[in-house]
Amino acid sequence: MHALYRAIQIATLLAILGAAVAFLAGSLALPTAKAVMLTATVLWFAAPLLLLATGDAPGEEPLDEEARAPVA
Amino acid sequence: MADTESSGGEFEREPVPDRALLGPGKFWGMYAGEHCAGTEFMIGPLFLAAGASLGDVVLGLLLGNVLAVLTWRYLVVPIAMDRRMTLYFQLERIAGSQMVKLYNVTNGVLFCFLAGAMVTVSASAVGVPFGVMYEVPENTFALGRTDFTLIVLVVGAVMSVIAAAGYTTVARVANLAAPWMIAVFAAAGIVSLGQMGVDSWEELTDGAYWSEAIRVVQEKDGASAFPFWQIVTFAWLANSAMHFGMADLSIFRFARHASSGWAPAIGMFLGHYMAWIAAGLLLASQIQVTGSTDPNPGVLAYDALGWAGILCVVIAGWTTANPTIYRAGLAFQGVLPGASRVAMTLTAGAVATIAGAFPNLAYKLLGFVGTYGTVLGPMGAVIFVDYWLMRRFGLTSEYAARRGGMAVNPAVLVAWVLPVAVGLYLIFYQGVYAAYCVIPAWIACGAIYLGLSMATQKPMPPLDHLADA
Repeated sequence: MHALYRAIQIATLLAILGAAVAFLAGSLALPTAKAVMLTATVLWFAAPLLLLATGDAPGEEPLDEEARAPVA
Repeated sequence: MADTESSGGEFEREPVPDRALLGPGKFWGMYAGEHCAGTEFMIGPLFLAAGASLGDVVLGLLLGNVLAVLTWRYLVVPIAMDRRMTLYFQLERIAGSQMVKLYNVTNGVLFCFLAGAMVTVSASAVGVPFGVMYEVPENTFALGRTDFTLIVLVVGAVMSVIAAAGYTTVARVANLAAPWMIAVFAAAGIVSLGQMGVDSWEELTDGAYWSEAIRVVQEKDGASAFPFWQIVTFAWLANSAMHFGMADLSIFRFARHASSGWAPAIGMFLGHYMAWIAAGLLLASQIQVTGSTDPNPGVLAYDALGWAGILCVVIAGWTTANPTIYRAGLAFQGVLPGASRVAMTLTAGAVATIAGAFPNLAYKLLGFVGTYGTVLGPMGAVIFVDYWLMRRFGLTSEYAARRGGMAVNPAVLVAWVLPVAVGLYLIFYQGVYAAYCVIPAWIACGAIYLGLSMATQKPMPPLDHLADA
């Protein structure tokens, strides 16, 4: 499931950048590029549900900013 | 609330042990997410609006960000990896417990204003679907449109409640969103170039689209300049509280290898280089397409990217405002230990929301960032001098702890307050560019601390172990 999750992540990032480049190149209209970006965005945030549905743990979390929090 | 689940919830009053050290990947991930914030949508357009030329922006940001990364790597990391303590614990040992409280509350108030700018930016995006525009009044402490103020209040309230409810979920969303936000920022720049009809390398490097946009802005708002060295200094010192101010001792105390100290490079070159330039291109494009010189982050993102842009502004603002409000709450709680964290976080959120209701504060972000560094940065000089110079001059490091837990080390108090007061006077009364005050204040603070320590310290036996006192 992790492989599928990663594949979706990579595909969505490529779709966002690809839509922008296609618009720059004149091969995609701006409304279409915007629609591609929105679809990719929805997929990006929906993809972790795949992992949650299967009880699979997401990848290693980076160090979070709370490490910088003041001592209360 | 899972305060103790995070890495920061542990070892707050002791050096981080070897078993808890982390590899470089953790640091690269954190810095990548942290520096793609909602405020990047504001800062990039402000460069253009201030009259910075494209060449100066490209080269100035490059140099400034390189200097910032070097400062993290060679100023912060050696001390962090040797002492392995938070900034706050080190300050307490050097400056005394009450002095840390003073620093904490100052830090908390500045965090609130920073979070307020993020609330404003997010509100600018939330307002777009409702046709509510972010407009900047002339007076600094004047409210915007009533409907915009209402959106700020709602956005600020939601952010405050989420911050008060806990940190872990927001941190996970922020980590999840980071690569997507970076892609959206990049897409914003590319689409803007397309909207301006820039389709060749010559047109890209010629920069006529940028200089034409500056001309339009200056025709409307009057001539202004943001020269090369101001850009370099801004980029270098935008996070000076974190590097010169040593706040990131608290991050790098977990570093297993010194190479982790290069991790801020990803935040600088994606968030403070690519994203700032891309956001500046958004305004250039808007000026060419619609003639509007209004740097409204929500409208800029929506015009180029549609709903994905709106979501990016909201999420980028939310995921960075939340930890900022949360940290401000903890800073206030440090001053009032009897108060609950939830109450203090809500208080911080309320202050941030009120600050966010004044659109001019976000519009003056370029100046605020320098002021923030001028106030908090110098305290890092105290840590620097204490670590590198005190013993070389025959003085006692961590003096407050060695003196049996003194409440305020007067040498630190004077060394901090004096240069900061002079810096603030120069910024607010003499009109000095705020970021120019950071390094002089830092050097003055270190020198005064050393001089006053020589004059006031009483002889102490040598300290065998940092954590013993």
